Amino acid sequence: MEKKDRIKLKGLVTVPGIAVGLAIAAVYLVLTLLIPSQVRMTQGHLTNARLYPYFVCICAMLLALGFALTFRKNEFTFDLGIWPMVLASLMLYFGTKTLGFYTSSVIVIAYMMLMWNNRCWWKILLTSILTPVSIYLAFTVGMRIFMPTGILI
Amino acid sequence: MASFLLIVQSTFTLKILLLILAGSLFGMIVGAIPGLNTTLAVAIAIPITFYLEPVEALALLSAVYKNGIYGGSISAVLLGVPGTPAAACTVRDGYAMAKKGQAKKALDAALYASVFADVVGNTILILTASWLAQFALKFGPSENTLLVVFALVVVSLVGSSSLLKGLLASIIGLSLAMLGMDPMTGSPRFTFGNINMLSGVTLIPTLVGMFALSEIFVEYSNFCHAKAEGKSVDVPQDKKSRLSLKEFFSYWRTLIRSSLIGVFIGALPGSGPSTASFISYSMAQRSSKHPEEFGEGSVEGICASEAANNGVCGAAYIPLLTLGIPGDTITAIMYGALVLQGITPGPLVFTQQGDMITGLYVTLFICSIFMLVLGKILCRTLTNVLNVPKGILFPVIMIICFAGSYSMNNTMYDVLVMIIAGVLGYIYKRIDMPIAPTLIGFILGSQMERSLLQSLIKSENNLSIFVGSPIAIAFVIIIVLMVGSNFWKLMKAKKQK
Repeated sequence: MEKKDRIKLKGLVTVPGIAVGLAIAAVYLVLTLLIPSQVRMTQGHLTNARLYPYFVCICAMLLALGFALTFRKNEFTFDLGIWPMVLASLMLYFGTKTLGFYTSSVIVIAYMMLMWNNRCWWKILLTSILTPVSIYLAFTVGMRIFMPTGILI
Repeated sequence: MASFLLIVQSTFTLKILLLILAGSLFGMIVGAIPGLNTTLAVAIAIPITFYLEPVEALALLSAVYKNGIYGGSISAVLLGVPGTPAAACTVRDGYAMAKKGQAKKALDAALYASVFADVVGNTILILTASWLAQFALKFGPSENTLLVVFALVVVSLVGSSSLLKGLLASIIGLSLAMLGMDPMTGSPRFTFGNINMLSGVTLIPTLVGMFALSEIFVEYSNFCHAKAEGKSVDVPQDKKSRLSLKEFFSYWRTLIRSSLIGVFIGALPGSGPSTASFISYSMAQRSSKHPEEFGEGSVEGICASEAANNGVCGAAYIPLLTLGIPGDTITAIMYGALVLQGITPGPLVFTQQGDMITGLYVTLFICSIFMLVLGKILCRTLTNVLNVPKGILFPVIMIICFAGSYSMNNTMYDVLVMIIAGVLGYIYKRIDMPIAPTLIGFILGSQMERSLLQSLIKSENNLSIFVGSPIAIAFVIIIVLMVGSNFWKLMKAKKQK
């Protein structure tokens, strides 16, 4: 394997099933405790507005605890090596707010193609320019949907 | 008979045929793009109907609607991303087949099943519209609640290694649907003071995030591992893979059953193609000679889901035309289009506007023909998308998903929802939890809550309302049997071990 093509396999995290189940149960426990502050109590109805949220959150908690119990011996692997893709999506989000959609999409496409080990510069250039142009034609010109602009375009 | 022939002759005009062609192409393309959906396509077509006659307007909108629903299956097969929520079930087998290099065969199956169900749905619409509408009227709030519970149980059983995981996924979907505003009181709920949260979590960005973005994350992870091992992740497509008509019609039982399920569900106001496709898929899996193939690339599985979701299209006109009740968002838009044309849908429309209704029936069949022809042409070219290396394809998909999610409400909030849903979808995939129950729970959550509360108010908190009618009792029995049979199979498997 050439040095430039070597991609280190780091970031594999193994989480036991019981932890996943308990984490989901904890989230729903918090939501259940937040119901009195987040759901306004209503007057004069045969059923109150908190009935359904309590029903869903308690069912979810019980199912999550069942999950923790049933899959307590299982182990689930998460690959944190996907961070470049998560970063790309965040770059697109924040970049759109500042630079505008079309500019940030050029940058993000080029970045993602490099992360996918593309080294052919003309392919990167062509893809990163043609894609926003196509979206402009399809969305803005075709369907009158205007994408966000920033300090550039 | 003579007047019927005159109506048919007046419907086969060049203008109507061109409108159907344009509507079919537009609907199919928009439906195929992740992030855009049929509702958007129909909404965009509405202003054009201002300048058209009633039959012409209905022809255009019907073409967009039907082909938009089918179009969702194209990206479901090619990219693993359902273009419309209705195609979420098609992803399971369609994308699996594409990964094996059989994308053309999968697309053929989706197309033929869609056209078949479309014709069946149109025929049943013509023959039984008023009877089905009367049956649909018998569905009260308790029946609607049980229908949703039934759909969630079915979806939890379908394609999930564990009923527990499926139910947990469904409940997560129901809880996502709770965010935003209380449907009964209109008060903010779980908004945490954020004004964007008042509208809740938007469906399409969630769908796009959970399917498309998570798939990009998973594929990148696979790419890194494959690269380290010196392998390639790109799968060449078998250009000769096709579905013969003989093989297609060998699934005639599944096709007919799925089409009828789609028609039945479509006739019920509020239930949509997504519900129909999952119920149909589950039933097909249970009655198939090869249930183990479902989820691994089964043509029968694709036929079941696509036939059901297109069977809904024709039947969705039943409550709209006969009762004046739009069954879903798209038919609600069509209701508006009809009112703009000076037509009030309802029981009298058949007597007062009989010519228009007959013209509509004819155009529905013409739409099916156009779907078949255009689908064959488009699929031949679109399969080449899979020959594009993933390193080029996935960055483009991400940008399209971003644009599609933003286009829903023109807010960056939806894009943020998409990203969070993408991370959630990745977690789902790593813990082997099915995404579809969450999606269905999310879609049906508000309907379930409304129906449940209406039932309790109507019965003054007496739970016997849920066994108070033959339809409700039938649903309860079916749900108990389905859950019970699942537990029995589990106990049997444990004893054998």
